[in-house]
Amino acid sequence: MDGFTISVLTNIALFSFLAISAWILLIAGEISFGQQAYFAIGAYAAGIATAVWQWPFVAGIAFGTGFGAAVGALVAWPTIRLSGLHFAIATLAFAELVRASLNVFSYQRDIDGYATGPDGANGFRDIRWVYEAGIEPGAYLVIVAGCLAAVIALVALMARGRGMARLRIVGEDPILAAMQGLSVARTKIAAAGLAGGVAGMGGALYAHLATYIEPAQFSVMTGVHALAYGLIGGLGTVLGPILGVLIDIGLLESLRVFSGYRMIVFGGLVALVLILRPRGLLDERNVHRISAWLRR
Amino acid sequence: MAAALEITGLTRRFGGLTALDGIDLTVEPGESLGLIGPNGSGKTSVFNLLTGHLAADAGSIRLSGREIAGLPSARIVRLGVARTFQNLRVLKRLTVYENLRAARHAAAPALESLWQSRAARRAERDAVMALLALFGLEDRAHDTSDSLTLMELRELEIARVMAADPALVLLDEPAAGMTAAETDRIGETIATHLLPGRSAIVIEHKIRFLTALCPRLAVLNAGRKIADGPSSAVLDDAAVRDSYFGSGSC
Amino acid sequence: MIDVVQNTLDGLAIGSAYGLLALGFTLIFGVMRRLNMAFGSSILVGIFAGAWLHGQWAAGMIPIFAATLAGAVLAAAYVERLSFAWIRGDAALASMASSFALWMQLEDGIARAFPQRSYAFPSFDILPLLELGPLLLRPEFIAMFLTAAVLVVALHLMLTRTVFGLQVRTLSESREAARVSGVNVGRVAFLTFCIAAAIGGVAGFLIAATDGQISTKLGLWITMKGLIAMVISGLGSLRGALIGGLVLGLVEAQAQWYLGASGREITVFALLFVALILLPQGLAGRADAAARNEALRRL
Repeated sequence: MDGFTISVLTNIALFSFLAISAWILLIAGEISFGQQAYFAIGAYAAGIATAVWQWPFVAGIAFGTGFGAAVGALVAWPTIRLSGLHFAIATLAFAELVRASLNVFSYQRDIDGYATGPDGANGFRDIRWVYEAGIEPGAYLVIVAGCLAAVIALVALMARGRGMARLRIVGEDPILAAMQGLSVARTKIAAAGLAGGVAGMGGALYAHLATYIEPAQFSVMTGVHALAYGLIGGLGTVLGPILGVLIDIGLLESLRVFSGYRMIVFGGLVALVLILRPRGLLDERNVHRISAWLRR
Repeated sequence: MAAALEITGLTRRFGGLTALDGIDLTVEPGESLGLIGPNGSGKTSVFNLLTGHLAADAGSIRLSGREIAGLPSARIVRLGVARTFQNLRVLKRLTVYENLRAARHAAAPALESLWQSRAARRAERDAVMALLALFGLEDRAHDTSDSLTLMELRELEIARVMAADPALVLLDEPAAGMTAAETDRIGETIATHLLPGRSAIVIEHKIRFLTALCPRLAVLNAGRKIADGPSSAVLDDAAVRDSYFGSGSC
Repeated sequence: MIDVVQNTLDGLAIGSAYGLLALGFTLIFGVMRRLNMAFGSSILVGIFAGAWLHGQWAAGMIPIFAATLAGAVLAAAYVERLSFAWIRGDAALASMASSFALWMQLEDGIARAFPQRSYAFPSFDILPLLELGPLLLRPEFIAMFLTAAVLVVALHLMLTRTVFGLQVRTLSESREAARVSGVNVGRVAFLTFCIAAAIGGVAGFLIAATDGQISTKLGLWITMKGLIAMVISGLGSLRGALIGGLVLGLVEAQAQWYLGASGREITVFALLFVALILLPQGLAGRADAAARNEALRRL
């Protein structure tokens, strides 16, 4: 594979974390404009862990993932009982709060004669673990893809067990869910924690690829894109958000046929898809049809 | 032995309107109580308060002697209460099978979110399919429930209540919108499969249907209980005839 | 002390603009019960139409104002058709995602047609700065405040005194009820959308004329400010939308003065977050919202 293909694929994989994160909450019936916050939190936490505290890479990624999950659940705890739009705006407020706070967050230590660590709006440079370990872009793509596969496997397990069903019921009809004995708030908090963890993992991996991160990268636009990917790709399966990312980044951005007109084409495409399939391309009905066909 | 359900002084206001005004109701273990009254008399509100969907302003609700007023819905339901809905509540985008499985999620251990053993999956499938067979719905198990007829949806709701295996059943107009033949069929299903061994409250406007299921009736009017007793006696009561049948709502 | 008063004046002034934006959002949300993410970009289309007229023919204020309004309304009509009218009634999520996609589309289209960083917009520089003792006040802001007040009163009259207003209110209570009572739901929704866009166009014109220049970044800015002001106000009351805008403006101005730019951002979003949790029905909260919240809290 050439460098361009590798970087496109890595981009797709990294964005998929964010898209899956927003998708999990969509399944649980909540719209989040703010999953980029957990991406940022994961990126900063993992970066601090490996660059400032000199932890090994795996521990850093785990730390970023766990930190994202913990904050996700913690933020959901007071906000999840708000009605839909209020929750959505609360996620937006929180995400912007995180971004604005990172703009003034400074935490530097002297590592090998260089001040290392986040420095407010100037960003956080030299997250060099992957670079110093001599990991090639191709090898790093394998690592990122492996982590993404783990996330997909986790969701698949939940779909086999009761997890996804619990999320879907709570998302489709919270009153009915409560009447079936499910604690709606607890289920949604668990979903938010999971979503935070997935985004955190993506952020952690991103930080080590980019080696430089800054608060401005985690803007509202990033989060709203992530949300749109799930809605276009479809709410029926975890492959939906990945399909959304593939269409946008894979097809439109990389093929260069639409060079310059990507958003104009993509925007129109999305609007048309949603008129025909309001729950995305791989919606419940299509997934059901496909799985019935596969069973035969 | 404590009553299956003992409601005393149950009161609920919506703004200036008192929807329920000091209601007392008792259901003995294994008994089915019919609840009637004009539209807006507070019947469904009783269910909403009972299941914790709305909070009571005053009064007590005891389930087998245990106070449940103020508990969250999920807790109450797990103590053995299940209900159906007047305007049907099914998960439209999920299959019939998944709808029935939903009734079993709460009781299962949290760990099964991630891992349900093969044996447990098989046992669950057998139980759900057996239940569907009772209603002749086996063929529809893997259809999404938005493709069901009204009759099938009502049956699905009743099957879902059975899947939860509650001690107290709350049925909200289970025969609404049905033809006479369908009403008879659903009544028979309820009588043979659902009610035996359980306590129940049934709300219904179709009196003949109701008296066939419930030997005792309670009547609500404007948030108050105006009669309670054996069905025949209640239906002869002058006040009941005046408030209910006089209004021509049936 | 003088600072506080001056900040308050500045805050109220910019707050009127926020209030106007929130008014448009509230009108659409009240009627459709769906969020129009492309609202800011429709306004963007309007002000760029105005800027184009200005750059091309150095047109006067009134044609530019008309072009701004027309651009905003046309773009909004496009959004209404694609993202709202043609998407099924129960698919609120799809409408939101679709309107977001059109936001991207419109904004990118503008960025393509207007590649420079910023464009000149005619400003009211003929008007002198008002001095009230030690306080300074820009007359544009007074115009903004008055416009907002007049529009709220006019909207209120339209909603309470006209047949169309009655139809809008019926629709906002229940789509079904509106249809049953013979309201042409599609037409009323479409007109409401256009009115909201026109209000947004007025707001956009005033904001652009105050700044004297515009860039495509305004789209996001308009959306954020309008949304936040709408949510602070508690959704669904027009007066509330204006109050929400003023409160947001006030908080921003004070925080900017005492805490600087990043302090202002942190303060605004922290306050918004806390306000949502403690006061979910907003400043002008209504009883039915409280009841809905009760039901949610118990699950």
